[in-house]
Amino acid sequence: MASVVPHQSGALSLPIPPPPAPRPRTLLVGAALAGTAGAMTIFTMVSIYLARRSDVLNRGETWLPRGSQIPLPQPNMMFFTLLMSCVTLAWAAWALRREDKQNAYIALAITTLMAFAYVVQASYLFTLSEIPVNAPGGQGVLFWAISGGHLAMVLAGLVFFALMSFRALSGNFRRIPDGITAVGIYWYITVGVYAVIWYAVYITK
Amino acid sequence: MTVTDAKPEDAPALAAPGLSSPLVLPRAAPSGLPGVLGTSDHKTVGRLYLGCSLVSLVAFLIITTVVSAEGVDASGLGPLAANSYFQTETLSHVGLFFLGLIPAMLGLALFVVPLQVGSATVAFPRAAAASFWGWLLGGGVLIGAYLADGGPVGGNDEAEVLFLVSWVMVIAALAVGFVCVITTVATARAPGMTLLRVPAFSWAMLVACSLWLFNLAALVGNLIIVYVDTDNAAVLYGDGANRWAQLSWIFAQPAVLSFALPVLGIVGDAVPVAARLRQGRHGVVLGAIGAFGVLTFGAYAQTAFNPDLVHQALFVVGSVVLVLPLLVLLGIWADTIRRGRIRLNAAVLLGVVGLLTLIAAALAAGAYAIEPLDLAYTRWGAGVEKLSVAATICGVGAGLFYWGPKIWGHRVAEPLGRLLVPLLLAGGALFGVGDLIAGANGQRPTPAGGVSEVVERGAEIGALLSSVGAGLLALGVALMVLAMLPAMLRRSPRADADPWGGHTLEWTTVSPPPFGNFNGPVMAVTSPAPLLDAREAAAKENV
Repeated sequence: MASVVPHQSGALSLPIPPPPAPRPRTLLVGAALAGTAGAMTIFTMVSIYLARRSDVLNRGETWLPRGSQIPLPQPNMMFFTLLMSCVTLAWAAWALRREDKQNAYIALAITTLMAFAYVVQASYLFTLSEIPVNAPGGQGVLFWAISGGHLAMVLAGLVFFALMSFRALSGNFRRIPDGITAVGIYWYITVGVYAVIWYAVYITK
Repeated sequence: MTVTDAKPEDAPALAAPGLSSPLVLPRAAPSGLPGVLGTSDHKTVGRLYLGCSLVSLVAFLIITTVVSAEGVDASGLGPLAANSYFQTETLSHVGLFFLGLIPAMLGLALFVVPLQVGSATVAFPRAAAASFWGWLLGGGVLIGAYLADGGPVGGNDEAEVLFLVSWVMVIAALAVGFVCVITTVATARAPGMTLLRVPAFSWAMLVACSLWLFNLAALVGNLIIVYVDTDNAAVLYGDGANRWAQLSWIFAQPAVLSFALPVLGIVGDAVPVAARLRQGRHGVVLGAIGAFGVLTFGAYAQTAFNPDLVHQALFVVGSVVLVLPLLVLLGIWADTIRRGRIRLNAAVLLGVVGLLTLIAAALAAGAYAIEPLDLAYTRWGAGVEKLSVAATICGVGAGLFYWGPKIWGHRVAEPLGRLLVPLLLAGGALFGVGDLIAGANGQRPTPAGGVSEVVERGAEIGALLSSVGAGLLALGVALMVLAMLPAMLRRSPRADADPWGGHTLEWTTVSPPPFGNFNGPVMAVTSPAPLLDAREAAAKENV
């Protein structure tokens, strides 16, 4: 609604429009779309992986190339790490909404630690698995495309998370909860995608 | 309370009376070259997308003309060598859609959608600008990769990888634009504008961009696997033709029909305005557009992994019922035209031609899926794709002639637009029908070497018709650019704010719209045709 303000001289009044209203849902919708598109990309690759694996198994052959392995402890720990990061991220958003700086900083720090822990564990798993990318049956191509694609999705989430955390650290609290909630939406989708990979690639092998 | 959170019932309290504020506030708008290179104004980004994609469209239609002409004499290749035929053929597909049609529609959406929903800007304006520059860079690298003997079946391994990376880059850039458009419609609507009151074009772009986002995200999944494979001895897919088969589903039904979806929105906005009548059953129109969108989701239809898919229930039923929402829309708009006092301007005529071509494409897609007709994996499929291309081109033309005065701020050459109607109608028909004839005679798609082992009767004539059609379409798009040129160069008379007697919010602001789009608060929206409401209310007061 237009309002009337006095001119510097006090003699003239001008109606001016209100300042642009904030759009809290914009970032949420954008993050949800980006996360869903990323999920679609990974799910396509997982579908191709499953179709290929099914063909090979139906021929009575083994799926993983000789000498390769996918150990279970690392993928399990990675999954739990991501699940815990979801909790700490929700904790950060909760604290930010209450302008509780102390809790917010602790939660953001733990979430960052969890995310980096996931990246380190993923790197360790990749060195353990010893699946050659040029394995004759194409298993390596699919395995590395999926695991690398998801790692890229996680790294993109980390960059997004870092940007929103810097805003939190700058003390711009009024705008923070939306940013962290948007990160949360993207992150939960990323964790959901990992849950599918965990079952389809690591558990059922 | 924010603009986006405003409930419809609060709208009158938030909106100022009248169509716009009497005060024109000076706003800082970048001008000149910095204004083009550094802008995040959605209107400039939209114009840049439109300009570049139209030029690109002409170029790739000419390439398509040459590729189609290769089939006229089935005994051997003409201007293209055996090793360059398949490269050029794949380039014509990728270029037409990813460097021509999709960016043209995205450009139109980036310009029009924020205005239609009453927003001062697009959501994520800097991302929208990054989308254009990313697309331009990615497109340049993609063409460069082809020139360096890359592409899906190139002889240069590094250029092949570059082609895949650049295609992903183009898709990523376009996807950013899709997110901007979707988010604008979802969150930046004017007070009172519920989703059911969104104009048809904005709704169509919401549906189309969502679909394209998910279809193309799936394609990126394919591209990543092909990239890893190509870069590592091609153990999974082997030769280039097989690699292309993993990617070409995006140019086949049902996904390919989704690229023509915005045509429905353009016709949905232009027809009631031209008929000088309120669009009845607006909800049904939006529902039918949404239904058509759902039916053109194509990420599941990857026949390279499942050749039997074309005979499976989901694909068959989905293909056969594809035409139903289009027939519903045709009926509604025919009724609007019948009841109104229609002004047959170029936009309406081109839109109707686009709609009829899309219906033909949907019917052909239905026939493709009917097993007794035995059309699966013949050139009939290429006919469906080409009819979709023609429909989309007509849609781009309709959009340009409808919103051209708003986009450029000057009048576009309407007589030239009318001349385009028979040209695009004939071009589109020949372009698609040529392959339908060949497919009906059982002709299989041309193999990578460019020479078919078995040439069915009618295949050569079909190729000739298709080639002539592509040429006519290229001429049509070139004329489209020519019709826009006086307005782009500001040589034609200035356009009025509302040259058509429009119904939606974009016509409440001056042409071209100022930085920030509206000079004052946006009017309250209480129906899908707010400007018509205001006009009728003013007429009642005068009485």
